[in-house]
Amino acid sequence: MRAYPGRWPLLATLALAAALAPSLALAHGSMKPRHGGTVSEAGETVVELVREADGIALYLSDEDEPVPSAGMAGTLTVKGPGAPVEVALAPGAANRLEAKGAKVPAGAEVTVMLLDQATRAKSFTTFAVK
Amino acid sequence: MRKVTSCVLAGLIAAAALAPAAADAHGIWFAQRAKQLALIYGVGADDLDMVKRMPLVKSVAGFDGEWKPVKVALRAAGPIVLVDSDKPVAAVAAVMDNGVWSKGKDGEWQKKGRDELPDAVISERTMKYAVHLPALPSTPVPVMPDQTLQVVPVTSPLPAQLGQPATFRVLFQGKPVEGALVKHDYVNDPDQEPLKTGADGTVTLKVRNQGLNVVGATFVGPSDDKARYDKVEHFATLSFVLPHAPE
Repeated sequence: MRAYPGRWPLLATLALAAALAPSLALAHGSMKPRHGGTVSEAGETVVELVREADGIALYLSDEDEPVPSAGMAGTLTVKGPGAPVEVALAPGAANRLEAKGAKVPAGAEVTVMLLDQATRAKSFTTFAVK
Repeated sequence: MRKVTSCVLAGLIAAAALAPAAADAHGIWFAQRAKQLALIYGVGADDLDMVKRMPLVKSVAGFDGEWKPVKVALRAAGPIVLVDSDKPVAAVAAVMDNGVWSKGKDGEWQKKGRDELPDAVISERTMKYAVHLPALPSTPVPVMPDQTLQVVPVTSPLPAQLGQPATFRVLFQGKPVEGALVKHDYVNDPDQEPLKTGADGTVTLKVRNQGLNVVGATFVGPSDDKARYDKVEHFATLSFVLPHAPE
């Protein structure tokens, strides 16, 4: 095949696109905590769990955009010493869900169920709390 | 040109003749749709109307990682059927009674028994079963009472990479069955030549996909109502998911 310099920019672009494609297709947003908590993924929603003095807060985002908590509900189940404790999640400001009064001892396992109230779709994630 | 037309016509006639048998071979399995777990009815890439068939589903069951029951239900979400649960599931199973079908002398399948079509060429009842493992289990898959025909992994844990061999056992009424026909990928290779289980009910095959695998098994059992159908065709799937590389 004869060399054709004009083709290289196209080939380079295609190669770059191919190299980027998997990460673009797989990324659902940053997994770095923004509120000092722990991050996990429920379906495609990035969930940050933050232990607060009066309970647990969850911050929801998708592809780095906040997910309004007004359309969400769910439960938080804490498995520690003794029987599992389930607490309902209530919408807070912006992308914040709250489980007021929930206690999470160190070493507990916290399972979050998120309910999208528009589609009734449920998604789950589990945190191992240190 | 005339020869080509004849060949095409012959092909179409052959396809039409085969179609009823293909329709009869449908199964149920579970697959992820928009991060939700859906119950699928079909064969190969044909993902048919499960919503209208929901009344045919006789049971659905969920299990946690210790094989304890988890409450699950089915719900229609637009044109698909989703598994609804308030808790995460490590496994889910379903049974569907697809009813009695008879093939008349004219080659047409009808949803009738031999009592209504006495001169039928074949009358059969078809039962569909499905077990799904969203993540590879760390403990052996138990025998599930509702799954009259069940495919269980013998290799434990299942390989995490495609192309690795894995042995499966087909159970009929909880016992290994010889001569069941097993396909290693019911979704992506539905026309493959099936393997037959040996005397111990096992087959060994290579895990085909780094993603969803749907192993399908067929076993024809005796009729429990000879006045209506000659046999009961049981079709069971075991679907499991091999994880992809970390994102």
